[in-house]
Amino acid sequence: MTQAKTSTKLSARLAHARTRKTITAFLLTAMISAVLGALALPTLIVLGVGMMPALVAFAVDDTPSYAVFQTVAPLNLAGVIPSIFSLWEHGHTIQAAHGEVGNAYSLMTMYGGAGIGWMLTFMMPQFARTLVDSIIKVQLQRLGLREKAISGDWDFEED
Amino acid sequence: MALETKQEQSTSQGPSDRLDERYVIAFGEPLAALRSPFAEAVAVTDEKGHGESLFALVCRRDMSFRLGTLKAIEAIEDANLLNVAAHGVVKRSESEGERYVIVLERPAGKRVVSGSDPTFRPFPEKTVLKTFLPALLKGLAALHERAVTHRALRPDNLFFDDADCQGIRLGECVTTPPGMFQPAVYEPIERATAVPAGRGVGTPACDYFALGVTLLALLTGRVPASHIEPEQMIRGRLEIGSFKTLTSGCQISSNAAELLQGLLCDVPEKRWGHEQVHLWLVGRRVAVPTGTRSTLAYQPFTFKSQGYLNRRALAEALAADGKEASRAIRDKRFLRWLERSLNDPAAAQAAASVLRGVKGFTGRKRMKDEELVGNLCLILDPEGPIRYRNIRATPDGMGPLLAEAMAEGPESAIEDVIYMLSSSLPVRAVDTKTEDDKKPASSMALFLRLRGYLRDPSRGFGPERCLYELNSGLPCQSPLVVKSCPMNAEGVLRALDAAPPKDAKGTDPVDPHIAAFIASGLSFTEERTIFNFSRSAGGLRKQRTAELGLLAALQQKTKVGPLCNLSRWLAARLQPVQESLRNRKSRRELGARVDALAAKGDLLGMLRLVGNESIFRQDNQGYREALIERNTIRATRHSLEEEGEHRWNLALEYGRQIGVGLAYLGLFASLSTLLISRMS
Repeated sequence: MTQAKTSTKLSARLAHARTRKTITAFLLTAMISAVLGALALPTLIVLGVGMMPALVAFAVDDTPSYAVFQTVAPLNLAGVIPSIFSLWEHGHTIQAAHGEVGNAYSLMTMYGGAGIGWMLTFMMPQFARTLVDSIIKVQLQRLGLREKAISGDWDFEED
Repeated sequence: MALETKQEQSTSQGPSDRLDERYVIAFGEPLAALRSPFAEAVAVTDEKGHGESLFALVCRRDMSFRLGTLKAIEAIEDANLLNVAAHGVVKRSESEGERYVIVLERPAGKRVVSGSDPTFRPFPEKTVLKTFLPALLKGLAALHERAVTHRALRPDNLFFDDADCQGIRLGECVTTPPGMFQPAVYEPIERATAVPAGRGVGTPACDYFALGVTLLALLTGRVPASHIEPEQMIRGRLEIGSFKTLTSGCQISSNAAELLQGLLCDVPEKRWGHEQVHLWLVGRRVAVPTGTRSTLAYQPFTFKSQGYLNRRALAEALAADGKEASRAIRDKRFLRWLERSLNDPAAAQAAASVLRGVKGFTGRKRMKDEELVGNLCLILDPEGPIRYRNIRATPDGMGPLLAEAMAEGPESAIEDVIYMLSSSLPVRAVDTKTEDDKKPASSMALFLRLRGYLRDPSRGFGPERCLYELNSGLPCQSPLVVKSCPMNAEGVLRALDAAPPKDAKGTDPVDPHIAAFIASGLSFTEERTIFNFSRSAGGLRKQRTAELGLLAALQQKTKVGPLCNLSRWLAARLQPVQESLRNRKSRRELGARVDALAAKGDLLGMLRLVGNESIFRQDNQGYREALIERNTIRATRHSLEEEGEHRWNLALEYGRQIGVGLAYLGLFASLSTLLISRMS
């Protein structure tokens, strides 16, 4: 009874902390967006369009450490950065920004990076499990052989 | 290993059908005229002899014979005795096993009197006193010089030394317990009431009494007092003396009467011995003893409506009805009678002490009525036998009595003898005897030791130990070896080696009889060293190792040589020792090494191997470590097999972390590439 109570309390505290974190992240993003909007609107446009998958990941991420977001966002950003560099090189204008976000190749790079991030999110646990299962199987085999050898050498009372 | 299929002849030599490699015992040629009550007589051929006429007596295996006496007289060469030529264990046949055989000089003539004849032709006084008496006197003197008694002197145990019936020889005295086949009349009064097996070795005075009765029988042509009932004869001897009772109604000369009065005196110290008879024979005047030791009371003591003046007669009457006697002796009148009417304050004091339950001898608070009566009888008749229930036995007759009870039963007889031995009676009897005062201390020590043995339930003790302590001439009675008639530890080892049982694993080679027989032949120190096992606590391993230890120590002590069959038997018995090793490889190795040593008949080697505690310590240590390791493995395996859910969560977490890591790596790589390309 006490344990269940403690568990419920813990879950509530975690959910509360998560909400606070989300609000903080939202506010931080809004502030950065406001600053960027005022100082570098074309960059904000490219980032806003290009980083949409990261925002979706943030929204749907229910892992305690925002692992999905942390996986998708860096790769998404890796796909967006070349477009931003290109924007800065070809004139930091709204038209250039529209050109970048309208360019299929650029979009593919940006969303492709995010896609790879999503892929990693789904595949890596499976890969890790397969790896751990294999390691444990080998370990069990080794232990089984050792136990058999010991039982062969010694007469145990309960045998 | 099937033991029975591997039996083989050991290298040690067992008994053969020849004694001393020269006397061929013809078991198929009985000599009925020469047989003894407990020993059949058979013909003997001496392969290295010069035509001496011999015969052999084949002893019984289940009864004690007088081995000590035999060893004492084997060197005697006396014309008045049947001299011993050889003795030892001889194989009778495969089926009948071995027997102890005594080879004796064969008398040239027949028995003086046939045993079956109650009456016979009397011999002339001159023949008896001038021919027979000197021969018998010399024969007895030859025995007494070696501190042994004959205790079988009677007319039917005398042999003529020639066909003309002139000379005479004493018959053998070693194949039966002392006095066992003497009719009561030939026994001095202090032993006459004892049961036949319990009459004891006695003293030379007993032989001189028997000599007197024998002479009287030869002179009169009948067994003295044979015309009256035995009880009447005993009562008469108690009341008026043996001489008067036995010579009553006999026609004998005053000359012979004088001799007989000297020999039939009821006081052993006053009875004529060799010196007096010799002086009488040469015509010197010798004082003739009179009277009996038992002093008469002034007033009779009434027991069961009968008055008793004679203390010995009263002792006999009390012993005959223990329950009634225990009531009578608890009456104050009894002590008063002892003190005043019998005028024996010392006896009264001793009786009062016993009645008060003084624990001087028994150490027990209460004694049975029969024991109480027995004690009082010894106070009344210190020279008489120990009287307990139906048993009457002298302290030195306890051995044959126990042997007879154990050989022929019934169980109640064994119990009575055992109780008697464990009671205060033998010690009191030895303490109060005036006749056997030569070695009272050693006799008392023996009986005190026997009481200790009877209290000890360990192997090597108990009634069996008493049996062998009291009967040096009794072969080991264990069913495993009795057929081989072993007379010592070496014989037991040979017998065990010669006939291992079919069920070797389940047959204990050191049964109570063997353990007791071996222990009785060891010195105190040897017994302490070798026999420690019987008291050692511990499991089957320790017991079996101890068995082996005992037999190995004996093999070494007796130098009997390799004992292959016995070793294999013991190797089979050592299986629990091997099985006590937990390590299978060590067990197989130990088994193989034990079998190899067993094949050589090396018990000591086997003992060194299985008695090596370090093997078992190492095995135990290894077992503990293996057990811990195996349990750890099992626990690990269990946790690995059971924690699937947890593992999935773990894999999920690890996978995500790897994903995050890879993502940041990708970002870093992308940025680095871009920067490098822009800079270049």
